[in-house]
Amino acid sequence: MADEITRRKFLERGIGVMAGAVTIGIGGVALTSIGAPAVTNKLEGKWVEAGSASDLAPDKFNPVGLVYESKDGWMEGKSKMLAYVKVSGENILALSATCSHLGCNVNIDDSTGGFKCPCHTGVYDAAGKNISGPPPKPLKKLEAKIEDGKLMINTMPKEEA
Amino acid sequence: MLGRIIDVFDRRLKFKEDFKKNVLDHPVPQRINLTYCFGGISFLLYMLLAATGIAMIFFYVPSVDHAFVTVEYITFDLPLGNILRGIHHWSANIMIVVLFLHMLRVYVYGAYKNPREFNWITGVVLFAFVLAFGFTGYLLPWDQKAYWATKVGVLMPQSAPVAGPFISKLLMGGDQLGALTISRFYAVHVAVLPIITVVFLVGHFLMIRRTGIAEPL
Amino acid sequence: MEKNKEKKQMLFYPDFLFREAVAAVIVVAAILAVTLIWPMKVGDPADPSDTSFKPRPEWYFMAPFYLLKIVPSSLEIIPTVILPPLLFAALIALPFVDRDTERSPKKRPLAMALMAAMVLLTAAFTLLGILS
Repeated sequence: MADEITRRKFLERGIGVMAGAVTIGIGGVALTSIGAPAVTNKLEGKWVEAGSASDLAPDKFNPVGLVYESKDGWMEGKSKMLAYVKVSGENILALSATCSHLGCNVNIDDSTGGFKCPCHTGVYDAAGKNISGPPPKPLKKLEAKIEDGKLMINTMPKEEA
Repeated sequence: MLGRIIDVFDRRLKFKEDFKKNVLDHPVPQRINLTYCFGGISFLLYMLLAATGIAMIFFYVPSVDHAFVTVEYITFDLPLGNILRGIHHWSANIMIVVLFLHMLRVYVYGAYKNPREFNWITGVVLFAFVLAFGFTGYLLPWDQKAYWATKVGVLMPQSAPVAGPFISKLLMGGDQLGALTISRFYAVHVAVLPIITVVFLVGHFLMIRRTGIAEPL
Repeated sequence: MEKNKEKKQMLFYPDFLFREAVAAVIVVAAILAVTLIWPMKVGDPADPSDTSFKPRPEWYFMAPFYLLKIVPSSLEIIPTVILPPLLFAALIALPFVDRDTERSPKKRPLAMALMAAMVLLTAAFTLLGILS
């Protein structure tokens, strides 16, 4: 019988199985915990008060820095982000400054009223739509409202502009 | 003194003869030129980086609140700290140049050919590790350059279909570039990469010892 | 030693290591010199709400950075996802693709042309990235 399991073969396979099981088991635990925050460490949207609405110049984009309490893994502290807010009469347009390409903060382009990314020269129009360069999508829209004269912005983007 | 200590061990363990035969007395081509030193120089730089890196671990704290101030402390307050960080910085930059030259020399001399294929492959992998060292390293000071360059880097995989966004989140340790990003980059920079690099280095060295340095042309 | 010379060989220790040691001392001295001439500084602390900073990577990532900049959105996946692994795969495959045992660069015109093209391209992109 060629495939008869001899004592030697049994021992050899036993070593392989035991070493493999321990490696996969312990390695699996370590790798799972390393990777887990990718799924569990979610950024939560928050309404943040962003100063007085009367400070905003009307009919043009104003850079508005948002500082808010957040939880990031073990750390509870302040997070920051940037929004561009334009108030035209009753309408408020708030855009996240994060470029849809690779995450840099875009700048206001005074000549067009739109935005330019300082990283890879992405260009957006005044509605936040990507018009040239590498950005694949428009800037993201943020929910915004004015309550008792205070500008309130939700940090979690709702949709693309 | 050192010789006598070695003898004490050698009388019991008998390693001296093997070491002399296999490591020290190994013949190398005599006509080698200056370009043959790049490999050894990279190894020297690796040791400089390890020594200065370990010294900085004594002071650096990888957190959003403390990374920047501890780097400031090392740079401006710690005695010899500026030199410590300077050596680490310059060694890292020179390492990239020297490795590039090492690779070019091996390519031009056709030294990657049979039987040294696996030396070339471990070398390419080591080069990738060094780039990863560079990428994880410059996030650590948590300054503007660190933050934005890292943000661009970790978001690059995002455009890949299906798994792209997940890979980016895996690199960041969540939805944002923050507390967990800096600690995982630190872990990779000071523990994961050094260990796997040493493993590949040992392979690289053992293989070149077996095949010998390619004869100059 | 005489015998070794006839075979045009020398010993790893001490002949080769002495040369390495000399090179090592020069490199260490150079590193110390640049460290003393240009002391380390720190940048501004990371600020996700800032727009005045112009983000740029280290010089050795300038070539891919420049590529990211000039590629339109429809081809974005090429510099971000396809090219980096492809380049490394090509380098790893090299000794198995180029199986010719000829080592002299003079007799490997294709290999040398390819290398020159890659080096020039990388250098050009790095330079353009730094200038942009």
